[in-house]
Amino acid sequence: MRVTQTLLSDRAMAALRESLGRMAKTQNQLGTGRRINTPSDDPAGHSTATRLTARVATLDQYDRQAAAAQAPLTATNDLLDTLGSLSARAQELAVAGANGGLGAGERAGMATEVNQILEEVVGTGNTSEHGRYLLGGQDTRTAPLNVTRNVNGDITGVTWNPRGVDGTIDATVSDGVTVQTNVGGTAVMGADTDPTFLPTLLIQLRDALTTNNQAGVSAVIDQFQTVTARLSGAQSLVGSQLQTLDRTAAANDTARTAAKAALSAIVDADVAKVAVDLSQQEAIYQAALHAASQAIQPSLLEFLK
Amino acid sequence: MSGLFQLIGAGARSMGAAQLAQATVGNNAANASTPGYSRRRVNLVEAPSVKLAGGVFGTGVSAASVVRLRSAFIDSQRRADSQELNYSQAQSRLLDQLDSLLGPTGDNGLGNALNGLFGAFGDLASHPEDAAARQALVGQGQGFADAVRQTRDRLDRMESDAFDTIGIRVAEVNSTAQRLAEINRQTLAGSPDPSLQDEQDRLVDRLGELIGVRATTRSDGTVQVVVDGTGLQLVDGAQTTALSVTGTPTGGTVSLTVGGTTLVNPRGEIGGLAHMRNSSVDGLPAAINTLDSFASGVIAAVNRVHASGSGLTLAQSVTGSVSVANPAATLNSAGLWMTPTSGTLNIGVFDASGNFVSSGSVAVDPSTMSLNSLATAIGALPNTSASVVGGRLVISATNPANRIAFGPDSSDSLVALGVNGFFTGTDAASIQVSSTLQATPDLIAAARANFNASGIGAGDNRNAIALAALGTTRFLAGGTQTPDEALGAFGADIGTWARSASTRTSTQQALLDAADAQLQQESGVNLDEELADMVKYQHAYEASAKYISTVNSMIDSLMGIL
Repeated sequence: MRVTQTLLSDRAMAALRESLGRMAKTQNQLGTGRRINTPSDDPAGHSTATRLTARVATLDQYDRQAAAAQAPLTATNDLLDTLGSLSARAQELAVAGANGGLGAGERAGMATEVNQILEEVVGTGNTSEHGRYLLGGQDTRTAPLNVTRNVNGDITGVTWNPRGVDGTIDATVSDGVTVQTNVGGTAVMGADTDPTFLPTLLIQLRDALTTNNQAGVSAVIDQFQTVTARLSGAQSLVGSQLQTLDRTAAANDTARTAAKAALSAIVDADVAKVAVDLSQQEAIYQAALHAASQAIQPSLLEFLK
Repeated sequence: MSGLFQLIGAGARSMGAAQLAQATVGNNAANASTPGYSRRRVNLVEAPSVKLAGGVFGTGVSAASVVRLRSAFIDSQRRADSQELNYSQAQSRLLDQLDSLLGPTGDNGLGNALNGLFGAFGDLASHPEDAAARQALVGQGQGFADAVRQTRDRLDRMESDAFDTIGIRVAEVNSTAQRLAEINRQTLAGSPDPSLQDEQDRLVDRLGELIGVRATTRSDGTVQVVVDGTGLQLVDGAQTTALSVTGTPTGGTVSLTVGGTTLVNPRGEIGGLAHMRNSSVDGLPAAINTLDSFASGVIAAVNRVHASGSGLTLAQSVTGSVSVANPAATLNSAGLWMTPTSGTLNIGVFDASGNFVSSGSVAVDPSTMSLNSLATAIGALPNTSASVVGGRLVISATNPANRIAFGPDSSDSLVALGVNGFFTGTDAASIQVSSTLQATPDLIAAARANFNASGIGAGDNRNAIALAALGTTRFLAGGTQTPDEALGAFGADIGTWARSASTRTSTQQALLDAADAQLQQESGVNLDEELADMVKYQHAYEASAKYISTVNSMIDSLMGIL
């Protein structure tokens, strides 16, 4: 084979170019910490990584939605606690008021307290959290309870928002898992046409106490059982939703850890291995440089005097 | 006596031959690294002998000719490799751009924008009454639309860049062909000239890199060039036929013709660019089609859910964003970007405070109904009027104080006509968040209207939940891919094309390197050889000079006798 200087230097240059190209790729991996920097580095891996990135984003979004659902549920839980203790106090007053030994003056005093409880119940029923009425169903911007008062300012009638207060508001907190973030108004206090509708019951009790109507007071006592049962039903609904939130938060965490681990395994460069590769390639590059300088240098010119 | 003078002549002739040989050696050494230079040799032949009384005697050496050392076989092989290399290199360059356009995972502009969009739908579901959540959704939606449009724009620009480059290269082919024809003319006029032959080879090489050619050298020294794989002549003797390109910078196909005949599968750089510009399998049109169907799939799915929902506030009048050229044509033949199906469309009317007024439904049959007759049917609903303005459907509440709300639409006509959509536009080039929603984010449909006394609740998030759920729903590619899976597949396609083009390029580069080495073996200049030759011819020259001086002193001796 006939070898020329151009051939030698071309070959040396080609070897250097290739060696430098490999080093650039390795250095890029080391610099970015990623094994896949463009789709062509690993088309299938890139596609999987795109999906896993979206998966992690979805799980993060579930967390945000769960956090957003937590607030109204906790507030509703507190609201139900308040209503529970108010109705328990009203029930105590009803039992005491039914006692035959009481006089009109004592019953009138109790009536004042029941009236106070009624105001608090209506106020609690119209609680809003971050501008959303908790018991308003989907109509979260309209106060759910409408109040009618007489000339003395006493409440004489309470009705629900006529558009309805039972629309559910759901939140998706994991794949296929939704929680109900609100409780319908009628599930908490009953329909406003129901005789056991809590405000109606309290008005009835107050009026019976005011008019010193012992029989009227006694008639109310048993109705409180329905009220209590309804409240505890609502509380267990809210409690189970809060439990679902806790459970899915743990499940989402596990899923996220798995997705991130898989993503890292596909995308991240094995830094130790890449660093070793790089120093190997550096050595090869230097050897190629040395060989090129040795091969290109000599010519007959140096030996002709 | 005459014999002695003849000897001086022979010596002088030999000195001349050595001088010529030395000149060739010097030229070789000087051009050792000149591209396309073929080393040359002086053909030395013995000068004609003379018959003298004592027998036949030589009269020295003479330089018969200067020849180039070059093999036509290696040349044609090298050209075949070079045209394929340039073909895949041109593709590889464009595909590398595409590849880096999609960039690293995670930082992937499109993927992030997509996750941001569906995340914002989820946030809207968490806070349907919240103005900030709506504003953020508009921002994320616009971010997604921008990312899609920018990607499409880059693809369009790559198409027009490829088209421009093809134009420049075609002009270069034609000027190179003309230059070659000019050299052919000079060759016909004069005697064989190694430097003209080198120039011919250089020009043919360049034509091969550009379009892929086969060349034949005629006995008269002229070169005939045809486009590889065809019989179409670019250069024949002093004649040239122009290569021309037709097409538009973006869209459509680019075709190359020689003398009116279209080249089927041109090679070389032009061929590679034309392939990228035309191929709907692994070229730019394929990437554009994939991106367009991704965008129109997302637009259709999001709008389908959005169109049947209601916002915090409602509009008195709603105008479709898609226009129809002929409103009298049936909906399935009106050239809509997606065809409505047979189904029912529900429309309700509410008063300004959100109290329910009336509702009604229209049965849509796209094979018999035109846009005009659809408008008539909607206008017949209670308290509703509808018209067609500039090819767009306009639906209004008849009483200006009332508002329009949409219910379930199994006919997809709202989506097809762009009514009450989240996005406007129909593909990757035109996708936008509806300007109506950008101006009034309260119109974003997080809720679903109840066509009864319950009306629309501010906290109703049923539609927003359905919108957010699209992020993990397989509605693309015929119901087989979620949006992120579709993006992943898009990246995988482009990555695979780029990878195979770069593999082809390095294979072709290796083949060309081998062919170059062969060419070097045949035609390259080895400086050691040239230096050895230089010494050799120096000695020959010195010997001839010494010979002349010896003969001269012989003549002197002879003269001394006289």
